[in-house]
Amino acid sequence: MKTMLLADFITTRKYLVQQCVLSVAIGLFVGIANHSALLASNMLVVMLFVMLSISLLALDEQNGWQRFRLTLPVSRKQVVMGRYVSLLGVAILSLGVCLLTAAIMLGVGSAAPGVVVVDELVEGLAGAASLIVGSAVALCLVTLLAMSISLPAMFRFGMTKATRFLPALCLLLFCIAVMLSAQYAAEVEALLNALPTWVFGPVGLALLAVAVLAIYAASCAVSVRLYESRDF
Amino acid sequence: MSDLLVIRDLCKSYGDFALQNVGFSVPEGCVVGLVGGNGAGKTTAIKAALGIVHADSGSIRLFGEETADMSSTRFSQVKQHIGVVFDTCSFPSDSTVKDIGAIMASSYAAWDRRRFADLTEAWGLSAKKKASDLSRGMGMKLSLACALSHDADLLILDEATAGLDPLAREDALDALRGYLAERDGRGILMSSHITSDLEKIADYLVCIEDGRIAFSCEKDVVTGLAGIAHCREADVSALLACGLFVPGTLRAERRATETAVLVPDRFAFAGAFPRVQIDPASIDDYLSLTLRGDVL
Repeated sequence: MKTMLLADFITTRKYLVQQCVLSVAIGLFVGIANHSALLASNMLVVMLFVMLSISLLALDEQNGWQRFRLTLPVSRKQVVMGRYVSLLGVAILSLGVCLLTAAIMLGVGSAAPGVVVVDELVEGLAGAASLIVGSAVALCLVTLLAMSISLPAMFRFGMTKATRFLPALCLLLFCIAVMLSAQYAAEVEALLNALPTWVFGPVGLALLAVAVLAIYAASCAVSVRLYESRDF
Repeated sequence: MSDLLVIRDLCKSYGDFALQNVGFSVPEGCVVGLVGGNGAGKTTAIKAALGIVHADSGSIRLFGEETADMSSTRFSQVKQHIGVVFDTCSFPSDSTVKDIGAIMASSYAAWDRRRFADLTEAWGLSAKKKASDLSRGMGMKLSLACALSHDADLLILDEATAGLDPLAREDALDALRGYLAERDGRGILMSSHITSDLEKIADYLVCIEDGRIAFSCEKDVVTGLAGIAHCREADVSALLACGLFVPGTLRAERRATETAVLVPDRFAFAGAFPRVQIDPASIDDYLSLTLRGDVL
């Protein structure tokens, strides 16, 4: 697994640094333009996590690297587990970058409210920070959940083939969600109203994290089985 | 002399292609040349040996152990002793030569940093050069440097010299000769369309055609003993009548001004037919006539 982690890190480190720096700049621009550190951080955590993940996954299909990697003394299980750990690292990095961006905005917004307006500061600095951290972590976990669903398909079919049908699958899931929310409108509204106080609070986030990480681990186990049976 | 790799009755089918009962071995101290047309099944056989594809049936033994009985951990340990070179520089585009050395160092317990540095320096591979900026020849040399830098017992090369200029190919062959000469217990399996390379280095030849073994013999049987006789029709009739060769064992190609006959023993032929011109057979001649020639 060490080989996988090192290979992933070595081959993407320059790109990671570039994207993180660029993302902070974009996040600040969007946040300042919209007076919202919450918007900036939420946008960044998802955008950066997805972009960096796709870049990492796309490495496998460069120059037959995936096939050659199987001739190295690493097992297919180690390949999959290493990739899952790498992506977890990407999630944490994305979270760190988005919170850094939000911290910059909140800091400048607090010190110079006439220069940078941050709407969330009406809740006070602590309230704004709590809201931003809660929503960023929740979004990161939701994106990780989406990864958990997508990754087995990518390990089974490769990223190129998987990206042909994953959008259709996401659209189907979205349509099902819309149908269910129409059918259970009252319950959905109550859930959405409860989200800020329940999910974004420490207990809710902790429970969500445990649930998502358990699903992520299960996804890893499924991906290992699929990858082990695949021919290259 | 033990076998480093033994394949027996290997079967693997895809939609419109199937490897059928393919078998060959790579003895210690030897170079086995794997030849055959495009799509014959050479790469499939190699991929099955390396566990990149799953065989439908058959036996693959690496260093005396059956791969089907190995756990994934054990198979990873066995791969420590195998160096592989494919026909492309199989590293991520943005990785540098130095990065690739670091990845290999973390993979192989017996990685020799000094040797890798010496090889890449000798072959003009700058540490900062990216894989995407390497020419085909330089990419192959990088792959070969990786394969030669962890004291592998078995090298497997799949069309590793394809597309290289003659000088680069000679450099590669020299490196392979040096690898074998360094110590005992090593062997090479080399799949190649460039039969002149195999004539220089191979000890054994295995030909796969349409998923089956067409022939398997020592290289000297081909280049040292077989010959191409340039016959007239009368010579062909005399050849068939003389009883020197078993009927059905000769292959021939009728050309505009002659019939080229592949004979298994050119010395015996020359003794019996001193007036008929006979030349040593090249691997190309042998392949062409064995696979495409008419049976006499």
